[in-house]
Amino acid sequence: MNSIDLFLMGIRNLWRRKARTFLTVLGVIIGTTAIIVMVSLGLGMERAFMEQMEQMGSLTNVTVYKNWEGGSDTELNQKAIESFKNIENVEAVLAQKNSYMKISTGKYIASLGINGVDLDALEAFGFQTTEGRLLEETDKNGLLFGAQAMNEFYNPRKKQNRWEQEVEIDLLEQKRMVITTDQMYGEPVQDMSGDMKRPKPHDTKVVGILAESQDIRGWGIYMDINDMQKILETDAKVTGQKFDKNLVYDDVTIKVNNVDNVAAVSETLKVQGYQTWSMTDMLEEMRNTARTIQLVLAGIGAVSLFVAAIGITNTMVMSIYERTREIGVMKVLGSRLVDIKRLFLFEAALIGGIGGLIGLGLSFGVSKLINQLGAGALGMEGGSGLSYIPVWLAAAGIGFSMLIGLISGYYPAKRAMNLSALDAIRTE
Amino acid sequence: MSLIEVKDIKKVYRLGSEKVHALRGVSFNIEAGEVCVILGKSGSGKSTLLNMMAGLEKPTKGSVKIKGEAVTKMSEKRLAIFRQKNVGFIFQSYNLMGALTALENVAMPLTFRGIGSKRRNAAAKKMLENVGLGDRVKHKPNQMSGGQQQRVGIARALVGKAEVVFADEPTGNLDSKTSAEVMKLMVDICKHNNQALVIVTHDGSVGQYADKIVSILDGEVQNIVVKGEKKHEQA
Repeated sequence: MNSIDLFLMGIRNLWRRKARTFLTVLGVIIGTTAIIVMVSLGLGMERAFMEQMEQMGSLTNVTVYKNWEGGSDTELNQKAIESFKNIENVEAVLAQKNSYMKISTGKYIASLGINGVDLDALEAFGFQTTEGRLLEETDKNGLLFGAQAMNEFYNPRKKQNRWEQEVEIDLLEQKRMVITTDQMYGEPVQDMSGDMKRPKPHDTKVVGILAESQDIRGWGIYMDINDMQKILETDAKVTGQKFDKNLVYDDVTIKVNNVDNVAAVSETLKVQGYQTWSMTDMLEEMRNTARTIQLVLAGIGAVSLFVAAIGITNTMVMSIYERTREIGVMKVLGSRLVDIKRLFLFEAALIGGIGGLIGLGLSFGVSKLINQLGAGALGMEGGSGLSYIPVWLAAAGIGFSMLIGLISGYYPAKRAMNLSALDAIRTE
Repeated sequence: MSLIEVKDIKKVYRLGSEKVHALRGVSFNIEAGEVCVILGKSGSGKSTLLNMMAGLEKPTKGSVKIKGEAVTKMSEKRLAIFRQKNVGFIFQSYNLMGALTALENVAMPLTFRGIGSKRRNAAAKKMLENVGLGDRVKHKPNQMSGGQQQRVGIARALVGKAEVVFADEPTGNLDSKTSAEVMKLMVDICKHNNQALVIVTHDGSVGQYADKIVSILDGEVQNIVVKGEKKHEQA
């Protein structure tokens, strides 16, 4: 028997018992919709988590700390940085040393925390300028300003409190700008109590303004670590303070090539004795929670699909009772056993498939409705919604319902196949 | 070698603790193109005999060979294929598919053989014309009389040009006039196509169409009459 004939015969048999077929299909529709919508809620939640995380910062970054509890040597020095770069899947390392300095231009001054960084890492970490350009080796004492950092400038001679002053200066166009570690520099009232020698300020210039950003970068000021070291050394000589030539960083961030590798890199670092923190730590926890919720939701959906599966089996068994004679005649007329099995399997799979297809359509509708109602109720604007049906879920939904149909149809099909032809035609 | 060789068939049923001997050692042969009537009262074992010949039931002892192949030893799977190729079947109660038209009913055995719809519908139409139902092609069984339904049944059994056609009380549900028409039709077509026709019946009048009459009584062959030969008794 060829497949087309089998197909037509199966459709015909289902069509012959429209009401019952419809009711069975309805069961599958409800089951499929329940499971897809439930899973879509879980997925929507996970996606919302992810989006929230991404807003908070890059998921591929790992921050490394020195182990404060002592033990192994975990000083964040140049040697450590080099070793971090050699860890598998590490894309770049941004090491920073922070130093509090005074910057002055014209009549304005600002006290700012300066981050000394390795220039190579800037691009890899997504530093972007809206004006000017990123730092280059040749920029002696060059600075990169965070978009919001310029608010720190004030005119010390004004009576107005420095926080209330509104200063508008084009940092890129300043004729002369100086930087110094001398915290008294430019202040009108000089504290003369100390006998400390004052270092001379160093010429500097701003080469670029960083794109506005919600994270720390918007407020930061960046400079070549080598320039910074030189300034610190020179000034320390004047003031007679101690200067440690051995460079130790305050803040190290590692960029991993892929979110999935973050955990492995963190683990490697922990084994070496460092302490680490990454968004992924939090993400993993959130994901686990999301998984659990998804499983529970899918379980609830699965119950209804299971009931639908029983419905299919029941329908097919009933159908065998009604068609016993017909099956017997088919056998006597020379239908192969596999054809009878295939016929019943096909009918069951068709019930599952049609139910799955309609159920999928319904799921998209329900999902849309949930998102509209949900957005209204929760006041989420432009959010990606509570329910989310990715392509794989749609495909899995249909595939699963057909599979359920096949499984539910297997026992009846086997039974039909094994009916004795003689008993079947004797049945009146 | 005869087309069908029935050799010492025995069948014992168990009914509780009692043994019922339905067949007690039956042997006879049927030749190609022969019309053979197996005659017997109800309970004589004739239907059981037919079921064994068609491979629907296994004997307790003995064998049935069709075209040299022992149908009594075949698996269900092999039997299905064997029937598909070599055997047609006519039922007392027609057993047409109620949902299908006359044409589709007749084409059904060809469908099982995997023949495409164009070819099988053409063959089925021709067969329906042969049985005089050329104008009933699109009718469903419940729109036809008993005689017409049985003619559809005959067309269905013969459409595959099987070498052996079994008929189980084919006229059992028909009045005598229609019975005669149906019998004549069956025999004519089978003769024309050189198909062996094996008819099981309790109706002695069917004997007039036969080349060979095998009478069964209490599970044993009472006598075999071959037309043109004289009656010879069986021990």
